[in-house]
Amino acid sequence: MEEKARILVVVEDEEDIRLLIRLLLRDDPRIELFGEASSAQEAIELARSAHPGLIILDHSIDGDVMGLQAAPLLKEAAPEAKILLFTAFDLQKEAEAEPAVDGFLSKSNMDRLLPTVQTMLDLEPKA
Amino acid sequence: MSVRQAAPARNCHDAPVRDIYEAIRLVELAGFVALGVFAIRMWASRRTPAHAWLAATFGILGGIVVFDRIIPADSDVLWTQWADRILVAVLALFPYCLYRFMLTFRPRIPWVFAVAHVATGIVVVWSLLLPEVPDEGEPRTAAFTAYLIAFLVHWTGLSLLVAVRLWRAGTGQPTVARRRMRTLALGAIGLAVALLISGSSGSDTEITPARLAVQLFALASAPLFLLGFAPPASVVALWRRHEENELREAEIGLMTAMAPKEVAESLLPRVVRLVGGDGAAIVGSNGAVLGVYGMHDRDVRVLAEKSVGRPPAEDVEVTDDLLWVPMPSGAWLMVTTTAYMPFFGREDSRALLALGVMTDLALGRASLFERERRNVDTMRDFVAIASHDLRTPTAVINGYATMLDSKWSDLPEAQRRDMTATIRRQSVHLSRLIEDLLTISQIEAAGIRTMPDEIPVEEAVREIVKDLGDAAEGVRVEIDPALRLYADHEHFRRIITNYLRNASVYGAPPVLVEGHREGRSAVIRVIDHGAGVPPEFAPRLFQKFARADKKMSKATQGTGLGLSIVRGLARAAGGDAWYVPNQPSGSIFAVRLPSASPANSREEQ
Repeated sequence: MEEKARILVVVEDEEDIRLLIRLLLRDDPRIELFGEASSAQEAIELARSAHPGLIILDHSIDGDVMGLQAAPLLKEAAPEAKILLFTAFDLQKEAEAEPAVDGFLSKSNMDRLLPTVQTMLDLEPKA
Repeated sequence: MSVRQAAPARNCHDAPVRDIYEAIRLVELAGFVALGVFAIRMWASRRTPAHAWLAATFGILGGIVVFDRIIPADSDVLWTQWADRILVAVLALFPYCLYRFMLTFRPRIPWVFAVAHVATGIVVVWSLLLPEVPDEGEPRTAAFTAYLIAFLVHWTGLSLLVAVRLWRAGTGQPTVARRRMRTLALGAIGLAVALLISGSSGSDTEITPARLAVQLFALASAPLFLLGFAPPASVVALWRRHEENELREAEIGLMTAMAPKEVAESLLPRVVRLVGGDGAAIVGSNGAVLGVYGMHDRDVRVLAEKSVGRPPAEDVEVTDDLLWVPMPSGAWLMVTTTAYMPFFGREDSRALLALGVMTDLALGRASLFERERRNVDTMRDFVAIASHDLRTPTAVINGYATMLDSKWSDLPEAQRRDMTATIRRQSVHLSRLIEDLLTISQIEAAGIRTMPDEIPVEEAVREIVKDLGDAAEGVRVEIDPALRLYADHEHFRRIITNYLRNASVYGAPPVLVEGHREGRSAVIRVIDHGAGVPPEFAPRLFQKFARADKKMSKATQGTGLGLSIVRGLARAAGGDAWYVPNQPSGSIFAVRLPSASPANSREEQ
């Protein structure tokens, strides 16, 4: 049995979406969701201790630091983690311009979440 | 020097030199007469103290050279002796008048002022009481030599004083002013030197090199004086080349400035250089400081206050060592200056007047730009937040619906129920958001339809409280039963409902709704005793998508548009909506609407 990919999710924006992400990612047993944070501060602490493979980061989060601004700090805390900016804001260009962000997905494309996460973690898509 | 040296030469051996000498004297005569006429005409058109003293100075000089020619050089006749004495006495007033001219620009030094007066008095009286004037070629008596020394000391002392002061004051002035001041200084020195040589060269009737030099110096001083106090336009244009370039650059700066701050930044340093000041400021018609350069903010604020009550002007004015340049909009451009500027730098301060008009235009244009830019920014923020807030419930609804669709049979009954509940909750939120966005866009496009009617306030509020049910549990209503207002019933309902819902969600009981008439308005206040609005958030409270508490789920929190709609509706009805903190804690949300006056009440129709 292959080792589970570890993911950290940071979502503050919407409780319903946090649950939805959990339900969507549950389909791939190789993916483990082990933590949720609501602010950049919490997320950085979690990332430093847990060495996640991927961080799903919303832009609109608690605290003074927004998701996009938190990305470089998270990258510093967990350099091996890939960062997916997952937000309802139009931040595609900004995400591309930010070296710490490895991928961008709009919340409008909720159905693309699992395939995007699989690709970023180099996991073969499963049925 | 011409005075009384025009005796017929007895030892004239050198006819050509005599001719040159006479020619110079004629030109000199014409020059000084022209100077006098010019100065008096200038004074006639611009009656300032400076012009008056200048007219006196050169009027004296012009008059003397004329009378000197008219009065026969026959010292044996009594009346010519007296005429000579009077002419010399009047001549002694020349440096005095020049000194008084200079004093119109700068405060007098009391002891210098006193000495100048005493010395002038002595020389004038002495000139009149002189026992005898030696004829040309006669040896000077000791008394006459003493008089001559006093005359020369008085003249050169005052002339030097004026020349040095003018020369030094020219430093830092714009080119025209500086050159005018310095040519005047040179003219004064030229005349003094001529007099000194003349006084020390004895009373030869020979055309000696010294006498020629005297005439040349005197001759040179005339155009210098003329350049100093009334330079021809062509000379001014030549001198102003540097300032004209500076002006062009200032104009280009004005044309390219995109914000009021940029207007001030590009203009003020150039204006300062243009008039040779130290600092400048732009103050709006309401006294707002729009830009400062090289001046203390505190000083500018004081001046700004002074500018508010200042009557509008058509020309540049000088007060408090400042050039006040009026702008058509009522704004002022202020530049620190010296007292010399209005007299010597008229062209430059005139140029400022035109620059003031352009600055006004540039300011108007720049603030339009800025407002437009702010509007675009606000609009961009609005669109960004609106699309985010619309996308979120849509994404949730879509996500859960897709999941239910594809995994219906795999999902336990309870989870299916949770999901459909979430979908319902999010779609309610979504439709509320859409409604609010539509209302906002109607308000902002000034297209909101209002159907005002007379509303009995107490009755209407009690009804709203009742309809809100649990959300308005325990709300106390204390409203003057006679209070009636004139507004759209539905809008009034929306405003009070929003305030009461906010009080229930964010505030804490007891909640009180009170209302009274205030002037021609009815003011209704919803008062709670919760934590109140964080002070740093209060200014943004009525803005679109303002949410103080990010932790709350958006679906339960509301759309973030409620208060901006409240204010929009209140303003559309001719009223307003605002917040003040309650004491010791809590919030007071207030709305002011037109009270039903007899003019618009139904009963009166």
